[in-house]
Amino acid sequence: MNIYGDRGNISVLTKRLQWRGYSSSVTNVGIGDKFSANDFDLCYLGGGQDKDQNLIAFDLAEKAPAIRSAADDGVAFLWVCGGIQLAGKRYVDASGSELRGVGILDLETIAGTERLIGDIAIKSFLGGKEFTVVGYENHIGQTYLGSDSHPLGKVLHGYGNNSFDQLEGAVQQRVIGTYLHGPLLPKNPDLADLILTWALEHRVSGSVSLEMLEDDFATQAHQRAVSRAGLKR
Amino acid sequence: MVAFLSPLLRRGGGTSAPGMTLLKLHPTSFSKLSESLDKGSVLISATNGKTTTTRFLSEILNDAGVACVSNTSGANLKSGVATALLTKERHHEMGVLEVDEAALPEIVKENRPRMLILMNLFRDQLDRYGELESIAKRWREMILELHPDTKLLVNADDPILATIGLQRPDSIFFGLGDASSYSRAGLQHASDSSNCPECSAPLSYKHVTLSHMGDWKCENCKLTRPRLDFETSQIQLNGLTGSEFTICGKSGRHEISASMPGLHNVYNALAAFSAASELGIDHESIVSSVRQTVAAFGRTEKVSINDREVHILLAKNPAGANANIDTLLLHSGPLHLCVLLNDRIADGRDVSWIWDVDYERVIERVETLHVGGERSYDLALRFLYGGFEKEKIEVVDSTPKLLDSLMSSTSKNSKIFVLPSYTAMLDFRDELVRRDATHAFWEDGK
Repeated sequence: MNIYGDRGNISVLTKRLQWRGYSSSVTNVGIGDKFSANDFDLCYLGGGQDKDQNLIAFDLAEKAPAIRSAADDGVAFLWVCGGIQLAGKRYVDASGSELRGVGILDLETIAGTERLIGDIAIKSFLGGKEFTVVGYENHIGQTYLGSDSHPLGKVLHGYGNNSFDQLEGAVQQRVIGTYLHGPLLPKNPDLADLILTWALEHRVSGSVSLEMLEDDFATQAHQRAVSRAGLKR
Repeated sequence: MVAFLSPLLRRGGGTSAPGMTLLKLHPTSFSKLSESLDKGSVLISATNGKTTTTRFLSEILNDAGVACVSNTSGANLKSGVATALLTKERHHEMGVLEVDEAALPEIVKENRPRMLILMNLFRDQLDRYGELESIAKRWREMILELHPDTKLLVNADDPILATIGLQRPDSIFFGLGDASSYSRAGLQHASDSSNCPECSAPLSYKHVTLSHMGDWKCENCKLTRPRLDFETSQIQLNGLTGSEFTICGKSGRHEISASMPGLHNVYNALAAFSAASELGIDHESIVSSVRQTVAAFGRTEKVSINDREVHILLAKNPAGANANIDTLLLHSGPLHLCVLLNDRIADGRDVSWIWDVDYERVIERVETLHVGGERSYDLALRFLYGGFEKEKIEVVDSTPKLLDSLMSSTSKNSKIFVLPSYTAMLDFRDELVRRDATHAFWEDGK
């Protein structure tokens, strides 16, 4: 699925590897394609229109065992927008019918009555480091975390997973689910590098430390998003 | 009231305020305003090309002696349409009105147009309009309730619109008959409706023109593009100067020469031609008006300043921006590119769409690159990750400084291409107006 500039997230991941001298290859796994857990270090799923999301939900159900075993094996996952909903245990739509998720994140989503739309900024403590993550959200699903998932961050501005608990996203093992697009990664290089570190660690089965990149455009864009959100930092 | 308001409307570009006030005072006045036109109205809606098609058609009708009132400034919500109708003068017989996609169903119900033209639906401003599917669904319902006297013209190259048109037996279809020389190898990244609207199977295309449009067919349920009542052939795009093509319709073959560049403007001219032909306008007169119509403000508008040519190509969604990229590639010289992005309501608050534009296609050709607007650094990141050299990406926030930088980084006789979002286009034009390079937008077409 691609909507909301998901392609940008892939560009960021591959370019940041390339700039550091790593090579990578991107494989599109479509409906009906084989997915084998051992073939990948990082698995991305973006958002889609409702119609597309239903189509791929059935396909993901078939791939679910392989996806779960990849997650257990330490493959990095970034599932955005519709992705976080499909990564969860179930999605209940407005008509009350239930769509089963892949279950790599302990959460469930229930369609709300109004869309949560707008700029969003969250504070994350992922990887033992505090950093802000900025983006845009546009979702009708209200997502609630179970006890095995941790939030990606606490909402500083915007809605987040639902209209109530001020939490955004979910993390479990090396699986990240989030509603933030914009796309997410160009303006949030800290998060991009954390995900890349996970992917590389999966590849080499050891610890990896990435060299810093010159991120002045990203820093500017990030800081402007933070100040637009009315946050002084 | 009309006499009193009219002079006010000529100033300041607040082109929706009078209509908004009137609709607040008299909510039912919209139908009355619509009825005041002896020959009724033509409503034009689309994601892209509304303003240009409206301009083509109103020029054609005015030239043929049918005086038209029109919302030339692009104010296309109900209040803007009402404002246009308020400016109606005694001699105006028809309305040619562009209408916002989301506002269309309500306006159609109250206006009961003589003709309705549906041009295309692309992904646009997801935060405001929601998904393309939801607009399409509302349009589908609108057509089921459309008054039988309203003539429906539909772009058959857009699969969703074609099936909407097929709901009525007497719809008129237009499309590009033979665009194979401009056909794409495949669908663009930002294509939206490449699955069959009836059975969801992937569509196959004989040729793709723009985004998901083209000569389509579903191999699964056998749905195909409807037979064309008006179709183009022998399209020749002449760089930035315009295009030549043939339109075949019920009345025979007509050689067209249009002064607006790109395949997207072929669609716009074709829609206006088909509409005028159905309205009974003399074909020679249509052909001559199409040749003479120049772009509306900010839509492939050319402005001269300091011995340079500034081309402004409004780019507010991926399909429109990709059409502009096609137009840039028609130009053979080095490209001085300037992309401007704001995120106000009229632009769409969500700017992720810039990642769905294929800017990479011009990378080899770009000599200088400026980015600006309120989201300038989002653009800088877009180009950086798109593979443009970082040193080449000039980020300039203020519009006056931007224009200065454009002038100082180019030589005389350079062509500069500006791709702004909607309000960024207005800001940029304001600066050009301030420097006496062009007219204010509310004086457009006057």
